[in-house]
This record gives sequence, structure tokens and C-alpha cells, in this order.
Amino acid sequence: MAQHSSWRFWAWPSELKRAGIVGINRRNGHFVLPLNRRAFYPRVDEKHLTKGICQAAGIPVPKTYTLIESNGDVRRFLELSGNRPEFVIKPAAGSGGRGIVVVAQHDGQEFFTSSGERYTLADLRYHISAILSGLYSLQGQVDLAIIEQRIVRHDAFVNISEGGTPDIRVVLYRCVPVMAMVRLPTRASRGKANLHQGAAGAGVDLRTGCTFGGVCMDHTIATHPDTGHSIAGVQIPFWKDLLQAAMKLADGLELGYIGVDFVVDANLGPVVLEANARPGLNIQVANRCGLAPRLEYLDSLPTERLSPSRREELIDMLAAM
Amino acid sequence: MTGKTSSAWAILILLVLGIGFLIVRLNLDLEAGDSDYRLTYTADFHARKPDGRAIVPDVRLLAAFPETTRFCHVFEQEIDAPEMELVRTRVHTAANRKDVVLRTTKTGQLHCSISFRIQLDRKGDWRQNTSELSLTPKERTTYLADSKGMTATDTKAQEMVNRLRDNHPKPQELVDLIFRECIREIEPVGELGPDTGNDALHNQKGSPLGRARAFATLCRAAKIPARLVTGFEIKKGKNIRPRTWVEVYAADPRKPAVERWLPYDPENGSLHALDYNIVPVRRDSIELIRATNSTDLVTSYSIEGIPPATRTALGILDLRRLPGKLHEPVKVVLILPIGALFTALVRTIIGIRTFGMFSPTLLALAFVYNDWQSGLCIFFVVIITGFVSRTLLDRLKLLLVPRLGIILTMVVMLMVLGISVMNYFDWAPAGKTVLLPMVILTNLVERFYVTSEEDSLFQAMRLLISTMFVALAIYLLLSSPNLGNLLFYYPELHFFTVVALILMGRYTGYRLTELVRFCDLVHPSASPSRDTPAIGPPESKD
Repeated sequence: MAQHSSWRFWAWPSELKRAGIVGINRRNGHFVLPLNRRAFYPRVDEKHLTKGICQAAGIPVPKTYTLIESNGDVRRFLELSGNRPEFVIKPAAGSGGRGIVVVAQHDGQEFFTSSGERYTLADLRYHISAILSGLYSLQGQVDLAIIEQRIVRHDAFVNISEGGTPDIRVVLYRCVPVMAMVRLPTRASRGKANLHQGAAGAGVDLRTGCTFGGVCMDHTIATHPDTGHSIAGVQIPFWKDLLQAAMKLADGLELGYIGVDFVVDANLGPVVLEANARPGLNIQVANRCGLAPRLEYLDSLPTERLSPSRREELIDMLAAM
Repeated sequence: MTGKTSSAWAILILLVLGIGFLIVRLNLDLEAGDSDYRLTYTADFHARKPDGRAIVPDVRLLAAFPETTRFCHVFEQEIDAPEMELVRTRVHTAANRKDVVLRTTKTGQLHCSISFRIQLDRKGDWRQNTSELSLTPKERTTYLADSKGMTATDTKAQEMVNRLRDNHPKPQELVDLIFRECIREIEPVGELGPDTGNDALHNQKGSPLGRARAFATLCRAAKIPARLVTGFEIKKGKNIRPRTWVEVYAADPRKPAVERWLPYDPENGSLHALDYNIVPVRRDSIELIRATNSTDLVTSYSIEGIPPATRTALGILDLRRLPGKLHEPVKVVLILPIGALFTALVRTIIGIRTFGMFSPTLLALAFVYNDWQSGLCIFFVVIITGFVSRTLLDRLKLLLVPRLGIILTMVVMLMVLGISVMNYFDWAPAGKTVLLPMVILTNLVERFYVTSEEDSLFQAMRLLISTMFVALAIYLLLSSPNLGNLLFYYPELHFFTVVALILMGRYTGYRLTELVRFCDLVHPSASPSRDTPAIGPPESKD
């Protein structure tokens, strides 16, 4: 790498280019706009549609207990969801983890989230109403609330997450996984696995599913900011299954450039949480590596659909880039 | 790539259109103005029979042409005089004066009317610079000498000037002193009051003409060249009276090095500059129309509003023919794309995030058409108070739309209260109201709250400040008074705005903020984690 003085807090465009970093404008202009058909966006923007596609393709997803579509159902949401002891409420069109409440235990009147926050029944009803009114949806349009199965955290990440469940983001281009990272909740992110809210990220080696490197708030880190454990060298369980599921979902969504978010459930294995048609670029920081060479390589291939075996080869190749 | 080719074509077509329209329209006569008027002179007179020697009667009528100023453009005259012929339009370049000369060989009672089309532009044409006329020694003598109704050597006048000279003011200050003294001392008593300057001085009352003459007399007594100017206040009316004011040759108060003719209007007390709708017609005289070899000249003047004149197809592009009251709103609308252009620049090239895409532009517009300091003040009061009340409102557990309604109500109330408070303490300049776009403010309050809850107060503050920063930058851009005028004159300039937007839309380079954001990736940073080995992917080497 080029020599630099420690006071310099910026990189020159030529340096970023040499490192193969993709910027937001390039992501939008070269990859998202040409390859993602606007008409298919609802498939990723509305989580219940994504879930339907997953189920059709045999990809495990958290079980949907009920969909709350009207304010009339809000009062009865506990009964409608089957009086489960634990569940998750999320807006169907939410983004960035906004509006998600994970109920870990309750007695029908008092509800406690996984991070220990207390909600009353009225609070939860209000929260669901707020979801329906569109408070958390992308453009504020009327939304649905999904009540679904709570994910049981897999032991693999117990040392490197704080207050929430880590998730795994795989970015696929032309239905081939090009980069992956694991996002680790921190105290600063208040249990949310969202990098811009302060979660930590670590790159994942596409061939092995093993973590390396790390980033938190755009700075490189080696250990989890709260637990102090090294975030490198953690093996993601069921890695091959996870990649297969990601590719199947990309096929089903018919979108050329997507990010798929997984969580690893202790019982179900990797389940799809959501997909994103404009996945963030922080994955490059987490992997300490630019996306451009991999995307450009896939661009250079003939435009026909890539066969599953060819994809396997490509994953190995891209990972070595 | 098809997107690329189509964009290139679009840019080419837009450039051709933009440049083409500009060239065509620049070559057309640009007619300025925001209101069209017709000023009509009518003259009735009795043409005398030729005296002894001459065989053919030679009666001439000279009518002064209104002057084109920054605010007023005078177009073609229309002459309605069946028994007369136009000899010529006489132009005195030196005196910046134009006369219409009509002639007749008939005798007896004659009638003629001459009308001019006048366009007023309240903002003034920035292209029209008033030419600075120098004063020749001969003119200086003329404008210091005694003339009809103005005897500068009069003792009363001399006394008054000497009294005012006591404090040894500079000539220009002396003129202002004389002017104020005149206005105070000489009571306006309507048309029938004393008409000459000296009478007005002695009686301490005078007609408008008498007061103007008195002021000019005093200036001349102080050895400062002064002359009468007669013209019109352009507003609709029949039988309007020409107005007379005084021009004094003195140092320009704004540019003391330059001497020029400064207008002083005793009738409405304005000095150094005239109202935009006052149009000079004749200098150093009070007669606008003269007739030779004739008697019983009766003149009258009227001004009527007329519909705009341009009727060519390209005239559709000429927005100035729109009625005056439409001008301001049209200019506002035309400025909006510039705000969008700047927002696009800030977001896609620089990479600054703001609350909403167009809220900075709308806020900036609100500042442009108001007083921005009080606007900013109210903005922060509203946001902060709105935030506080939004926090309280959160306890009520209301649904989105009613909650937004309540916030809007609070924003409105706070703003009205703010205006009232400012008015109470005389903070806001009189006559200016601060009407910020309230729906935008409501959304800002809501998004500020949600962001501070979901992300952090820090992030919310950062977005709010960058929104304000962008709004202020757009404000600076938009507050240049000429931009609105320029776009109003040449709306086709927006073809270039679209070109710029297309270019930005095709920009796939890095945003400036990304240079900082991804810096750590290029330079493994000097952060504490540096000493930890093996943070690169197993075989990754570039």
C-alpha cells in the first residue's frame, strides 16, 4: 500500500480506485439501476413477499405467526399469533432494523424484549398501530406488521455479540455471492445488527465461512468493542447451506444485485431475514477489500444464466481475488 | 451502453435547444417591464394665419419623449393627428432628450394626441446603466443663473443658504440640508399656491412647482447647479398632472468621487433616487409640449394600463409580458430547479445527507423571500420546541397522521407567536413576514425525532445541521437578485440545468465523503487495532 502520513484522514480517488472500492454512485449507476428491475423491488422491500419467495424455493425463514393488516386486528394480536411465549414484531416494509421488537418473555400484560426493555400490552398495541400507519416504512406508506418466530441465537457468536443476534450479509451479483460479512450487535448499536447504528462488522471468507478482520463505525477493529473477544477466526455454521440458500433466493427474486441477510438459528440453521436491493458498501470495509474487481469480473462473463456448478467455481475464484 | 448513449443524445439536444433559443431570442428586441401603460398627451391649439410675409402657415408642435430609465422602457409612439405630419423625432444626445416634432400647414383649431407605450419593471433592468453625464462649463453657468421663477440672487434665498452654511457642510450635505429645510419651511398648498420659487420662499408656502423652484433657487444660490425636471408618475389616471422635481449636480452619496445629477423630489420628499415609477420627460423646463405660431394651447395627459403587446410565437417564451403580479411567483418557481441542482450536487458529488431531498431548497426559498435572520431564528425555535413537544406527545401514543397534525398545529402556533414576539420587540424589519414552509418544518420535526430515537441524537443533529447548511448555501445562491431576473428573462437557461443534472445523474465516481469513509481501507490506519496481526483475508493481496 501507498505510504501515507498519519494525519491524512482522506484517500485520494485514485487510491480508492486502485483498491477497487465501489462508491455509492457507481453502485447505483452501474449495478443497481441496470440490473434491478424497479417492478421487482416490492419483493425485497416487503418482507412478507420475500418470505413467500423463500418458502416457495424451500429456503428456511422464521415462521410467520400472523400478519396484522388492519387496526381492527391490533387488539387481538396475541390471540392471532397463537399466544406464543416469545415472538418478534416487525414492519413488513421497514429498513435498517427499525421498528423491530423482539419479545423474549411475557405474561400477557408485561412484555420483556431480548435486551430487557419492558413493554406493556398497550405499548405493543401502539407499536403495531404505528407500524401499520407507516412510521417505519420506506416512504411512509401504509404498512403491515409481521409477527413471527423468534430466532434462537446460535452458540457460534456468543462471544462476539452484545444484546442481540448477529446476522450475516451476503452480497450477490448475477446470482453469485461476491462478498459476505457478519454484523455483530454492540452496546452502542443497542442490540441492532446495523453497521451505521454502531454494530461491528467482520469479513467472511466466501470459501470457508470463517470470519476475518473487523470494522466498527468505519474504523478497523480486531476485537469486539464490548466483549473483547477476537472477531476473526469464527466459523459460521452451515456456511455452504447458507450460500446455496442465498443463490436460490437471488434466482427467485430476479434481481441482479442484492444483499441477503441471514441469521443462524440454533435449530433451523441459516434462515433468511430479508433481502435488500441496495445493499450498503460497508461490506468492503469489513472485508478490507473492494468489490470492484469481483463485480467487473462477473460483468466480463457472457450474459447467460450461470449454472450451479459454475457458480461454485466462481465463488472460489472471487474469494481469492 | 444504452443509458450512456441516450444521455449523450439528450445532452446534445438540450444544448442545441438551449443555445438556439438563446441566440434567437437575444437577437429579438428585448422588451422589458412588468406592467404596460399607455401615456397619452393630447394638445388642442389654435393655429394662426401666417403673418404678412409667409404664404404657407408653418405651425410646429414639439412634444418631449419620456426617457428610458432603469425601471422604465419607452416604446414606439403613436401619433393621432389627422391634420399634422410628423417631421422627425429630434434627439439631443447630449441632453439625453428626444422630441417629437409635428408640423401643419392648416390654420384654425387643431387637435392632436401622441401616445407612448411604457413598461415598468419594479426590479430594474440590470443591463441598463444610467449614463453619467458630465457638466460642461456652459451648462454649469446656465444651471447657476437666474431663470424664470428662480432668482438665485434674491436676498431671502442668500440669507437662507448662508444660515445653512454655518456648519461648513460639504456641498452634497449642504444640498440635503437645503432640501430638508425646504420641505419643512415651505408648506405645500396645492396647485393654486405660489408658483415661483421666490414667492414660495417669501410666503413659506407654495404649489408643488413653487416648492421645486424654491429648492432649485436655493441650490443655485449656494452655487450648486440645479435644474427642474418634469415628468410623470406612471399610474393609471385621466387628466394627470405632470410632476416637477429638481436635479442637483453634486457628489453621489454612494460614490463620493463621482459627481452626477441627483434627483430631489420635494413633492414626496425622496432624495438621491426616485421611485421606480417616476419617469422624467423634460429637463430644465416645465413645458412638455410647445407649439409655435399658435395660440390657446391646452394640453392634457392620461395614463392607462394596457395588455402586454408581444404577440409573436416566441413571445410565449417572453415571460415579461405576463401581468406584473405574476412576476414574483413565476420567478420563485423558476429558481426551484437551481435548488434541485445544488441539492443534487451536494448529495451525489459531495455526499452530504440531508433530511429530505427538497426541504433545503424550500427552506432556502423561504429565506429568500423573507428576512433570513429572523427566519433562521424561528427555524431553530420551532425545531427545538417542536422536538420537545414531540417527545411529550410520544407519551400519548397517537397514530401517525393525527400526531403529524398536532405537530403541524404546534409549528404554526410557534411560528405565529415567534412573528408576534419579534414584532413586539421590533426585531423584524417592518413589513416583512416570516412564513417558513410549515409542512416541511413539520416533517423535519418528525424526522428529527425519529432519527434521534432510532439512531442517535448526534446523528439527528448532524442531519439537521447539514440540512441547514445546504439550505443556507442554496439561500446564498438564490439571494443574488439577478438570478431570478436572469431566469425570468431567459427561462430556456433551464435546458442547461437539465444538462447539468443529467451529467450528475451519470456521475459514478466517488463522493467526497467516501474519500474519508473508505480511507481506512486504503491506509491501514494508525488506530489502536493496528498491532493485531492477521486481519486480512487469508490470500488477499492486491
